[in-house]
Amino acid sequence: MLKLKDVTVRYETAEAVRGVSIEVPEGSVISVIGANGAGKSTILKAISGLVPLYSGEIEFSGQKINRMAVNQIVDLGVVQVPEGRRLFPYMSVMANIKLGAYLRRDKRGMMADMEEVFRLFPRLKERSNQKAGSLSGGEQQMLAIGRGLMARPKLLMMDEPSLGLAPVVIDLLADTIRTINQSGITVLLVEQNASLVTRVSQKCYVIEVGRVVLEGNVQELMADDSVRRAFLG
Amino acid sequence: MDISTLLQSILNGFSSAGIYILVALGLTLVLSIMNIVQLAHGEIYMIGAYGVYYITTSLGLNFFLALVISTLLMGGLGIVLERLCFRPLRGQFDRAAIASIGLILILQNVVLSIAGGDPRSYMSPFTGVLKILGVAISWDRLSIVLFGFGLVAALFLFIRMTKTGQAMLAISQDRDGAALQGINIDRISMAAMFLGCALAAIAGALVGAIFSVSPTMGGFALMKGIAVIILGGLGSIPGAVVGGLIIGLIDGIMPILTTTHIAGLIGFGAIIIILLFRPQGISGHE
Repeated sequence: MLKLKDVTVRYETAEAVRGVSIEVPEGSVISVIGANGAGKSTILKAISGLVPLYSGEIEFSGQKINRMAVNQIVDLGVVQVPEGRRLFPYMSVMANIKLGAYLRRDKRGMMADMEEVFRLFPRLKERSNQKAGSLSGGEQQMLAIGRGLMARPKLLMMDEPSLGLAPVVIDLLADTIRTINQSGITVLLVEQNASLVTRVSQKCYVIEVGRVVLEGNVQELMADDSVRRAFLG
Repeated sequence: MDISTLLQSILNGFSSAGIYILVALGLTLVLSIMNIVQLAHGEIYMIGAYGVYYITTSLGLNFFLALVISTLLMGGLGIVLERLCFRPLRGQFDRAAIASIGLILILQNVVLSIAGGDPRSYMSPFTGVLKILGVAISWDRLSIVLFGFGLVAALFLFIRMTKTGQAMLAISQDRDGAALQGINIDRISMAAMFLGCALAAIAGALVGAIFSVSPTMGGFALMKGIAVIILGGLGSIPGAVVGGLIIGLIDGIMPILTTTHIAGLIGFGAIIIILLFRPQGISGHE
């Protein structure tokens, strides 16, 4: 469904991503794992069109997307739940959720999806009139995911959703990711939390200083001591 | 000082506030959505007033029609400026500021060469006085209050109720977050410049109807507008309204207690004192 071919991204001073190739088959949960600053977030930013590619190509459902504008990429169904949530802190939970459906015109479908989001995250319904910035970290992550789902994504990319969450909340997150995937949404997960990755995804790419150094079945990679020690602590 | 003078000056304060708020709302919209200070905002205000002057005197149209045409033209100019001048500089605060200073010089001198430096005036359509409890209130002042606050209410509704308005709020709170929801930043920036310039043009046209128009009238508006948004909190729309009310009322009421010059001093002094205790402005975040 999504193919990154030899993608390189350069910032002014350095190469953040070097010749990365990743493939995300339809219906799967694929993870990208690596330490801080390894270039994981840059990969997602490049897919969403927030940073330009220096070289390489990104394809979604057979269509080249690496020169498209951010909003066009969202319109194709490639939706990102960004690192740090990037909510609109002074707007209500409800307003945040509605903005997730910004490009949609089907009122009825939107209402149905909103019900679905509230069923998935009942806490958000209770707090729908509260300002997003006043939510707890876990609730904010739920809101960010709920907002992403409102776009009716084909591919949902999540950037370190476990960051700053308590272990109990991470369990809930794992369930949520599985539920989302079972509803037919392909997931690309960027993480540092190895336990979350092993619980939800099938295939995993290990990134180190902007390169893919290892890829393969999650169980096998995690069984490998050197991988665990080097990347996952 | 009798009660009538006081009420009269309070009304003057509200009408100044109406103008300051209209100017400040445009500045704050552009600032929060495009991340630039559009220093030629006062020139848009000035050309908006000249637009009404020429349309009423040369074409003979009535004031309201002229106001609508001039407002739309200035909104259009805003879109052109966004596209040609500010889009390439978006987020580059210092460069955009310098470019907008360049625009001040260009726009002022274009107007100067067409219209000359003498102040011009046109008739306000609002004449006569309204007598309430023995206090005479001139309609032209009252009209500014009604226009100003009517537009503020309309803008609030627009931001609250429309998708474009919500997108503007979203961009002002998290630009990348907004882009990732599929919001087209370019298009919303154009809308913000259109709205900001249209509001400035209305403010200029209303002031021109009471006083007169001249190529340098924008400097005063810009100064007040910037004071208002700093006092209210940068990028905050409610802040611009509250800040505009405070500065407008100070400007309206102080002159009856002292001289105009001292009043100006007290006005800016009050801003400094408020900011000492609330550096982020009245309704600013962080």
